[in-house]
Amino acid sequence: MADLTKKEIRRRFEKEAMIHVDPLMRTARRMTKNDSDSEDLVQETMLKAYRFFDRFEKGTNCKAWLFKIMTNIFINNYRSKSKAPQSLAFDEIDDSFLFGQLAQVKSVSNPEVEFFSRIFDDDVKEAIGGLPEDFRIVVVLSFLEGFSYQEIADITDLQIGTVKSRLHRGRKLLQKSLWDYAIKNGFIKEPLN
Amino acid sequence: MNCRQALEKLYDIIDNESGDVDSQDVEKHLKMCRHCMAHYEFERIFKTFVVDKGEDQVASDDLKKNILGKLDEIDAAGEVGSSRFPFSWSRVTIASAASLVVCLLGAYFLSGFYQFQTEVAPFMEAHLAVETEGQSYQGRDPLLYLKDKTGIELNCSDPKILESIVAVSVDTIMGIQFGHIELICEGQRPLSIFVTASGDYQIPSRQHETINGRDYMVHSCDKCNLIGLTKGKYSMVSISKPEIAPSEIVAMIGYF
Ligand SMILES: [Zn+2]
Repeated sequence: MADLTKKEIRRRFEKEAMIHVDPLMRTARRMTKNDSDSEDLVQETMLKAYRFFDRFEKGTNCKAWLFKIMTNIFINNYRSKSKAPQSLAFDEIDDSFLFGQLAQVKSVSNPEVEFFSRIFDDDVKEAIGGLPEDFRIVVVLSFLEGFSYQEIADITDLQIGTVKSRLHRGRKLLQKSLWDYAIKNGFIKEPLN
Repeated sequence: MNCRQALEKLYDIIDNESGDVDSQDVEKHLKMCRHCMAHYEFERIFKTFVVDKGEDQVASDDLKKNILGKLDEIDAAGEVGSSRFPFSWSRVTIASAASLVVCLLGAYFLSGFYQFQTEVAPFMEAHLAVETEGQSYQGRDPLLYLKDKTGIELNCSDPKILESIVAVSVDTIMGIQFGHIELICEGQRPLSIFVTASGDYQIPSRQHETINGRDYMVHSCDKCNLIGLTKGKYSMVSISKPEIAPSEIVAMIGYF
């Protein structure tokens, strides 16, 4: 604290931290699935970060630091109180689920092109939103915010192995959900096994 | 490398997380195996697809204005720096703790790099520390917390030093239990002190240096400074970035 005046802290905060409000907001929306909650969450995160900013080390990863603060607040205060056990039949979903399914489709000549061209932004967003919370957070941090496995482990306080397996499962669930959607809407006819 | 092995590395590569050696091995396999190549291409496209379609546009001008307004209130109330830091952040900020630790201890334990990296994983996990503001160490003295969790008894009578402790956790490194105290030295510089009562752990005796008339094991490089010493029945190792000089670390340890 000694060599940082309060003005300097404020200047640095506006320069280094405020630029991350948009990414925080994007992720907050995915976490809370609610616009007003997500604004509250981001505001709380930024105010808390500011109060502690004298302890934040210059030149280090400010974005990851802010995401860690936000994830902590979310888990402590926002996450749905009744944490129902998430029983999911992962084993039904093969590792190369979507790739394998599409390879078997015979009803159209290029099922991959068909699949990717008929699914729109909102469908993908809905599929992400439909992921169970634990998987959703990891998928959003990795896919949409581009954090590394190690950064996600730091942000979420998970082991790196857990991050990887959640990401892996999240990816599979996302594929399954988009596949089901494509079948349901008749973009693709389910291959007969 | 066979298809199964290539598949195991697939997502690491898609996510840009694989090392050079792995990447080269997989690349070699992909060149030979049309099936894996097709699968790899598909997963890459799938990820790009989700990233493109899933991204949200946010309009946050009002929110930013609100936040700046609240910052003024905090400034007016003089609240910056007034609260205890709510969790350990050195893991985030000491750029890739893993490489630091590998650099530090790897040389001493003489184990293979990769083996060490997995062994060291618990070092980065299991932060039993502070969760929420104002409830640090379940509202208790950090050293009392350390004693409860590990049986290690350290004393520190300087409240300023105690106040600078941001986290206490129990870390197992190479199968040996360490109490891990993280503190922030003046100027926001993090310092980690590992303490163990295990007789199995000997301070490696490689480079010695005399600081303030005492003999210490010292390792200095462009990534870190490390000091090892024996204090009573405890072995202590402290780790910091190079900006904290060995003499300063010794002075900090001296408080305990
Ligand atoms: Zn293959």
